[in-house]
Amino acid sequence: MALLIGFNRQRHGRSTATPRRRPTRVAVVAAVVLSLVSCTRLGGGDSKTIDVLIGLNATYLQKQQQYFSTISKEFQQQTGYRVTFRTFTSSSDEQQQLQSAVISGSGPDVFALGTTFIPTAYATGAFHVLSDAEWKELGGRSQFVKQQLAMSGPSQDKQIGVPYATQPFVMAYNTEMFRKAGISGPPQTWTEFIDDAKRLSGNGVYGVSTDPSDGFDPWKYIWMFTLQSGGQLISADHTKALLGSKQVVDAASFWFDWFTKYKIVDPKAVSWQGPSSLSAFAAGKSAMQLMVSAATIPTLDSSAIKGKYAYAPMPTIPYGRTSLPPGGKAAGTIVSGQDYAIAEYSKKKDAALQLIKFLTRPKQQLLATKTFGDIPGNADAASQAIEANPRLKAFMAAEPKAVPTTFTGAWGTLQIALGTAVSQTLPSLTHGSYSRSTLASRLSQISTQVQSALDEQRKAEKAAH
Amino acid sequence: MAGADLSTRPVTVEPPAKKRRKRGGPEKRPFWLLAPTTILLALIVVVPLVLAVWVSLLDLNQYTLRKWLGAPFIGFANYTEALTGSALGSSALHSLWISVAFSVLTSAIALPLGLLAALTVNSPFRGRAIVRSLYLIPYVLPSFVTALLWRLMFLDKGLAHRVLSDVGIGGDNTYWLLGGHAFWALVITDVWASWAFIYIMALAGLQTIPAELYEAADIDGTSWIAKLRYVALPNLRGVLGLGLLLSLINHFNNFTLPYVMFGTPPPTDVTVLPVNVYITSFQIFRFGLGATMSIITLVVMLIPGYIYFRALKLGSSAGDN
Repeated sequence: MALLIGFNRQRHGRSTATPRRRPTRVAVVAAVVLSLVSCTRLGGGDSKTIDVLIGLNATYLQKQQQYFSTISKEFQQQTGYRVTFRTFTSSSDEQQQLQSAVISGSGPDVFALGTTFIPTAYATGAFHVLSDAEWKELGGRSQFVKQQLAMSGPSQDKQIGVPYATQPFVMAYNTEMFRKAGISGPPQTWTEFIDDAKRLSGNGVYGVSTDPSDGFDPWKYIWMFTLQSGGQLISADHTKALLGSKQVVDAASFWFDWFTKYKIVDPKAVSWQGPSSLSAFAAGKSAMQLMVSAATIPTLDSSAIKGKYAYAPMPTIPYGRTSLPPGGKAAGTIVSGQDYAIAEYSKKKDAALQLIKFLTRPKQQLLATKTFGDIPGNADAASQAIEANPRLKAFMAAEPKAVPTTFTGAWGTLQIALGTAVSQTLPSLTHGSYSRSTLASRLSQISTQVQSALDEQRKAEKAAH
Repeated sequence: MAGADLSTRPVTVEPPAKKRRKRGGPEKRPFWLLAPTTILLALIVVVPLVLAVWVSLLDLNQYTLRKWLGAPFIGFANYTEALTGSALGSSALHSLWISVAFSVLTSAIALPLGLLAALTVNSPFRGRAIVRSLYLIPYVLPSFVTALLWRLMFLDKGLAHRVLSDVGIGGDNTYWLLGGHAFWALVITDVWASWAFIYIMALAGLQTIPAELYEAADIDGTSWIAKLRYVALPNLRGVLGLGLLLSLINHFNNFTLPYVMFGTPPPTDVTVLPVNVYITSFQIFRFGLGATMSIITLVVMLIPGYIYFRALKLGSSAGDN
């Protein structure tokens, strides 16, 4: 108050207040503008720094920092460019940083993206499409794990992602339980799988653990069973959603039948997410665990079943059959991995490309494998990694059976929609049954919603042309 | 031009006005000093709000995000879609209903619990400081930790699952994280996490009630219940009203608890509006539709906000009188 009165007196003591006030106003506005400008430039970094946005590895937090430091030091020695790694802690954090960068046209130069997100990233048009010359500079497409390139872009001439980690999904099985049950090896068909699981169930142990309440896995199961039986979730030309088709209903039914018909899963698993399911397997309460990646090795190695488990590719022959039906695909896993992509707005694209080249060389790839356990995206490095760690063999054996998911910006909608249909069916599973017609109706309903997303993409493509 | 206009305008100096200026009346205070605050408020509140309204009228998605200013203008189409259905399967109207029910229920249950807790530690006794500290645990725990803990406790053989079974609510075959049960699991968790807020408010209010009022009641030989009814509660009305309003707003906007407890997509019965906005915007990339849902949230939140400001105004008027 005293300050206000003081200013009042000063003001009234002047005959021409306006000219004196103007510089102050200008200064206030200038300060705000400068602050905003500096804020927007925070993301850009200096001209000799390359910013990389990558996921935080919570399992190897300290090792990841050491890895970042080593990479930055070595790359700076070679090129003069410093590398700053920014990390995101969750998918929502990643989305917020990515979307801010896309809208503002400033931010990290290089993004580490999951392969299932690449179609959405491509749809934004905010990532640099790599030319043949740039692929050549990276050492050629042939130096990468072949299947992984299928998710780098909608076609070979429109690729934005450079694979740096291969993360196929396989199954883990308890070798001791298999031996005791007289089962010689992992199942090769889903019929064998159900038979084995039935034999392994009993005395409080179940044949398999699964996670229908998980946010990521349900659509993978339905996708895999659908493709193996000759169906599709989205038509090959990306114009039609086929989630209401018989094959998709059969696929979802087969998975739910594990609970209701075959009784090979702990009934409590209806409310399990991935960690609960893995925990049951790690505690020896189930004999098999599906849809696992190499990231589960540290968990299982520190569990009760250490030394008593192995990995194997998942079966590819549908239940009740001895071979694939016409049109069926031996889809053992989705093409899953991690890619580097360069932001279109980056002023340092050449340096960013050099960094990606550096990061995808066998030496650096093997350093990443040694640090985090991931299988490299570089094919030579992947072979060397498997030689050094034979346990990764099962993962690379599954890789040739990896089938890319449909490269469409509507895939995010499809994942959520399928997850919703599964989530709505789970309460009935708790009563030991479900209505196939209700399930079919739900799938038809979400198919309409996915169709809208596909139509939206076509509209956008048309507008772009 | 403006200057010319001003120069030709007859300038009359009213003596009374001059007199007021000399006195430094409130209308002549240097309000321009508020400029930094006003500018910041405009940048932090007004600009994003205007942008959100604008985005809600656009077909903004992953295809148009990069050049968002050029995204197709679609009028109120997002509002129509939000109120009728979305890709998630839950319309904003459905989520709104879930959010309102969740918010009202949790606030209604947490209010008496918080008040009761405050009454238990209002009078001095040995170890009161420890009890008061223990009461604060739910309030100081990060929301995501609370959500993770309760998720585990609601799973089969979890503590909450077993306790509820023991008291006859649910049984071995009750799945608290699925279907309709999920809503009650969310309510129970949020009540546990939030009653301490009401407790703090109520305790602060109780501490301000003059001891003389209780002494007078004691002289009159009133019972504990009568003291609560005729002394404590009337004096706590303002504090509890504020606590209730803030609780309603907090519960309505609670995103972390349902998001961490149920993941995405959550069961339909716990698809509260903030989670629906998140999924729509960040998982299916319909930013326009997400912004529309946010605007709907804002409009709904204006109701308790209006009541709160109205109550403040009335209180202030009463004070002036």
